[in-house]
Amino acid sequence: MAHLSSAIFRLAALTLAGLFLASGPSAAQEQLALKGGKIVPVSRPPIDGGVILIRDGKIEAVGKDLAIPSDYRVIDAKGKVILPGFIEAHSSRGMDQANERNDNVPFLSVVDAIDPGQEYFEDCLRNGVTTVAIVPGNDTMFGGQAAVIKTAGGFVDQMIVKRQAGLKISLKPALTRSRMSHLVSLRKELDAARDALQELANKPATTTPARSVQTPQRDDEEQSAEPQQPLPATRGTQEGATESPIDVSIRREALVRLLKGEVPAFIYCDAAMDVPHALKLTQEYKLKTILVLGHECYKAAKLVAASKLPVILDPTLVFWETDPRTGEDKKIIVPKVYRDAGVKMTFQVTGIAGGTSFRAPDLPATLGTSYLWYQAATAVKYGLPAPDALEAITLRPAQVLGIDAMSGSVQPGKDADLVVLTGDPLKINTWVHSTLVRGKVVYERDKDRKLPHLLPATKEKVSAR
Amino acid sequence: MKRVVHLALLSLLVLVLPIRAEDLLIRAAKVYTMAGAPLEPGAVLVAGGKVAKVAAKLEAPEGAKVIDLGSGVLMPGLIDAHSNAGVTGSLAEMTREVTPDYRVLTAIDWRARAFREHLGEGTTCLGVYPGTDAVVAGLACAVKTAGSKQVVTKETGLVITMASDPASGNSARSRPDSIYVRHPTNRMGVVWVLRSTFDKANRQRTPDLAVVREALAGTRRLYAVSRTEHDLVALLRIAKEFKFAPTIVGGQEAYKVREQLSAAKLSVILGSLTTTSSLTGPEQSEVAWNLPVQLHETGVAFALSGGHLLEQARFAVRYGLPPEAALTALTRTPARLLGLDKRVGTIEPGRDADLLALDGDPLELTTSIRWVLVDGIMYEKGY
Repeated sequence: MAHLSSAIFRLAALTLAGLFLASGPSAAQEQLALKGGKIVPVSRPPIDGGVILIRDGKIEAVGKDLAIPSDYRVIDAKGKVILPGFIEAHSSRGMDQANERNDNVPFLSVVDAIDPGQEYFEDCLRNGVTTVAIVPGNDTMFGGQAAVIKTAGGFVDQMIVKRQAGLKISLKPALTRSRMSHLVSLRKELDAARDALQELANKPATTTPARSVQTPQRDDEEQSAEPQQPLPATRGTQEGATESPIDVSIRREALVRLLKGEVPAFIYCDAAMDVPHALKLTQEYKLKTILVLGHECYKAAKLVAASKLPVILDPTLVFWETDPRTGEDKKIIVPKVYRDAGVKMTFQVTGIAGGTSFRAPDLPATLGTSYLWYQAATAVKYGLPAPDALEAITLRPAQVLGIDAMSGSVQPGKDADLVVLTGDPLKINTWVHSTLVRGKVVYERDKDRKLPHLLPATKEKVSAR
Repeated sequence: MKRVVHLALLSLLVLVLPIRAEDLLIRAAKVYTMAGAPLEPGAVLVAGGKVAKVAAKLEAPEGAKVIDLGSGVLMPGLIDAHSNAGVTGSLAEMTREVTPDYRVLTAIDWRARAFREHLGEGTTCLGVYPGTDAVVAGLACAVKTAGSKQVVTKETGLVITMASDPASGNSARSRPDSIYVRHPTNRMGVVWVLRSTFDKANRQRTPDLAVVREALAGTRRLYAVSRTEHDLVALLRIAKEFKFAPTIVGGQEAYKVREQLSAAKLSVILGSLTTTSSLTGPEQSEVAWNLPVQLHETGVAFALSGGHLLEQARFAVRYGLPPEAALTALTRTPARLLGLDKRVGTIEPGRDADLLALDGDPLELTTSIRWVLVDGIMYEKGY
């Protein structure tokens, strides 16, 4: 009996593995040609009535009057507008939970929590978002490792673009904690990691830094064959006494990688007062910082501008503030403030992730802030030129995430992540006609069976037919 | 004492603010008068806080300031027919279910930020309502979002709630004589309270129910907060029985009874469609972004309400509503549903000079507001 069940199990496993292979990106892929649309490459001026050739998931050629080889399937894009797929540089959705309860977990990776079955990914494709950086939430001091993924793929390993995209650091203290003690423990950890790094540098070159306990490696990444050696735990952490040396060491390891500059830091600033601390930490520990700015940080716009660091804005782009003393009200238009200060920004959207709302409850919500294109349109409404706004949801986030060699614009050699719109971008009646990820059509509005169900009023009509 | 200080402050404000509206001639590439086809180009003369003339072309009379919007667009100030703006404290009486002669006007804080938020979004006139915790909550009013004389009508109509709100949170306690014991505790109770109140109003000539009697007789408007299908059906039944014609407020599932609403010629002040998190509205009703177009196609008159009016209209258009219908739902229809169609909602001679100037098409996401005029007084962008 035991034999039989194990045989069945093995068979099932084999079948599963087969399925995996069949659906993998390496399977023979059809070559495509998008013909006749207006192409907005973002990296250069738009091309009217151009052709995009797609081969093996990559953009092969872009231009007017391109000869289309006979083995390419031609998609008629006449009257459509084609843009690079939108990119969101910071999202804490698509996971089972945005924040870990323990707030010092730099060794965790979102890869282990991403659920490709969540509606979030469907909505991404429906709205032309082809790449997102999934980043741990804003409530954890060291929240873990972010990952850049494509929004289509079915299994997380097929979606990953960058497995280690950055470490999330939050300057927002936990509820019962003061900012003083929050910063002290943050620095303590970073100092300890710096000491460990120093010690490693002083050791003879025979020992390679251990890289074991963290996330699974990518196949193409070289795996260290040498025995794992825990890093020295020089200084104690706050709870040091009760922790095993291994816990300390894996934590340190993640931070060592940060200090070596192997990964950037996503530093979340909740209030304007956190910004100078973020800049100081960046300088002292030589971090590659990406600033994730809460809505109140607009007050530090000049400081942010001077730092020249990449910036991801809070989803709340417009809000009201009342001076408690004078009673004076001010409408704060966040993208305008940063633009006037000369900051190049990128956007993120509102959403619920693991029960954490990223919108402060007292701030007004409008329909659109859950769409990246809406955020760009809002910035245009308040004075940002439209090409700039489009760049802020395509090429710029690609640069921020360090994936601009493969994404962010319609250019030969880049991944064929494209969004085909029914009309000009940022117009109210423009819809996503189809979305392509790595040269595959992964969304078509005509075939979106769920769309009517997102509009209850048509549900009856649909079922009545 | 406090009141004296308030009065002093108010009179100070009156002195500081420009109370006398200048005469203005406004030219724009397009003027949506909402009383006939838009004028392209158009011009509007404002004198003494009222619209004096509207035409494709107008010459400026002596002393009038000329404002040329260039490629900009002019339309009537927006009207939000359902709001709780400025109402301070609890929105409804918590110890009684039937308070028909309560006036929400008496609870408004005129310095509330909400007025400036609405003004900043292009809204010039608001219907202000008591809350929904009482079955018969009292009398709503209509106010402007700015100016020295904000009250338009002290009483627009009686507000009743045919929803679960008055029942939610109530439960039988151990001490029945406590003020905390309230009924109804369920929907049956809400319907019963309504019926018995209407019945009493019809049979007894007590002065405290005079307001209810007038609402039933149709000499006063009757606003009924009702959202889900079964509440709307119950409301229709009671309305038929007691022969009154309510204006429905909320109506998130109105599309399910749209044929009945159309047959009964009832209008709806749609509750806010703005939600970011899920597809459910109050009471877990379904939020349908194409609800406006469904009502439009069935011939049910509706107004959009609940703030962010332009954004709501834009999304209603995105989901199929014709642009003219969307603009009507922000101006003429809410004016009519507040009983103010002789004063606001269109740009016609004699109407209040409540105007909204925009950079371009009001229904595009990228269009911004230049300024708002309330009773002829200009409030600049960013306010």
